[in-house]
Amino acid sequence: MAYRVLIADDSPAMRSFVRRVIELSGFELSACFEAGDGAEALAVLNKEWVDAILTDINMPGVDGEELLRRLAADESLRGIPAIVISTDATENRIARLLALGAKGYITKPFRPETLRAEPERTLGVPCD
Amino acid sequence: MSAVAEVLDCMFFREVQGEAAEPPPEAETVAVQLSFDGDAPGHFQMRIVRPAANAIAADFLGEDPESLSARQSTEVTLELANMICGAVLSRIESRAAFRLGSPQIVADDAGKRGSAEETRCTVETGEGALTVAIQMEKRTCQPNEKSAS
Amino acid sequence: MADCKVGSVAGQVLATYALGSCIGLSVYDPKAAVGGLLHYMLPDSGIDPARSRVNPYMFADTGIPKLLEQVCGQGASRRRLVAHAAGGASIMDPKAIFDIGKRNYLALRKILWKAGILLAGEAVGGGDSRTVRLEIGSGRLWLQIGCGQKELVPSFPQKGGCTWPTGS
Repeated sequence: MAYRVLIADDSPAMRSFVRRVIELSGFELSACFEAGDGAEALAVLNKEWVDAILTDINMPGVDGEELLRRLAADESLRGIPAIVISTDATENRIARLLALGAKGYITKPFRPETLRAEPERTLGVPCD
Repeated sequence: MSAVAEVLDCMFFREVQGEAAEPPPEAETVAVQLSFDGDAPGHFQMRIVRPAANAIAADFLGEDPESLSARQSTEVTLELANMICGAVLSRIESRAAFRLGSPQIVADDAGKRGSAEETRCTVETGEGALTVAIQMEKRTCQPNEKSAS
Repeated sequence: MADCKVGSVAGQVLATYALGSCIGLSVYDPKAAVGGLLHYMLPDSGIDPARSRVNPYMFADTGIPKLLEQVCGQGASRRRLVAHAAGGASIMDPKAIFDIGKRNYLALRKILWKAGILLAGEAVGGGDSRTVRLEIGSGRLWLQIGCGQKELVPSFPQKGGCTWPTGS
């Protein structure tokens, strides 16, 4: 099955890194959208369906936390699994984001293999 | 230094080769600054010699250094600063909330030190020195706080 | 040591022994049933380019590309390769002063990332010597540490690809 994913991060370098990991992990991608902040991510989601979102937290304008809030508030979007990738490893922040509906949390820096394992760990999906 | 080592190991596939002297003012370097706020606001600076910045960027993107554009090298350098700052803050205040601002390339102020509360270190990356410095602002009492006595 | 073996005959078992600070890298294409096993000793051929021309398998930066070239030459697809690593220990360097094992391991990760391959598993570090065996056909991989042996990778299942859930 081919998947459609959205990567939201204000760093083009990090978007490249995450995209590369997903592509190398064996997931067949039919589309990989990128957004520089939460507002751009919502604009993509307004036009395109995605199977999963990987989002940073510290982004200008609409940040990752606000993005999660808006996803949860929208009946058509709240079912899309979102994995957070962030430098912020504080317990309070992680707990708050998981309560907002994030399905997984990866702290930067991370090994590429950690990101590949995340769908299996958080979503119960095996990866060959 | 352990924060720098962790970041470079995980995503840039290189080992910090011990502490080093800061490069001289005439060395070609890239300087990045970002501010952070929250429970413990402050500023973070990173200074890295250009050959090291290019080599590290190539490793991050899985490319040859020769094929990298200046823009790609800059983008990775900014993200490197972002991650090191986040890693340092997580070690200093694991329960504090903080929010990082966007990293920016700044004019290199080689040798210019900040306040007395600055923590600074320089490491050898293999292709040259990388210096990080962090200053945490002191919170002043709010006017409506009662005195202890 | 400083060796590379590639196999494409079902039932063939490739083995590499006495992985101390060295790294043993196993790659296997389950669809083509082709695999290879590299045993390298040092991270960077720059310290002895002449030696690397005589034996490229001694170094990570020359050995790993050669391994990939050889398995692909026998019909493997780089995108399908499943990679495992073992070794990188601190055997005669318990305080890891020279840290050859760790440097070998970092070199491995960097070169594989550049080659577009993620590790599926690893058994690295520590202070013990390891032996690795790879069986062509089944793709089974065994790891031996000291007197104990365990199967790291069972026979490959017939299903392929990764699955990721869609939004409900």
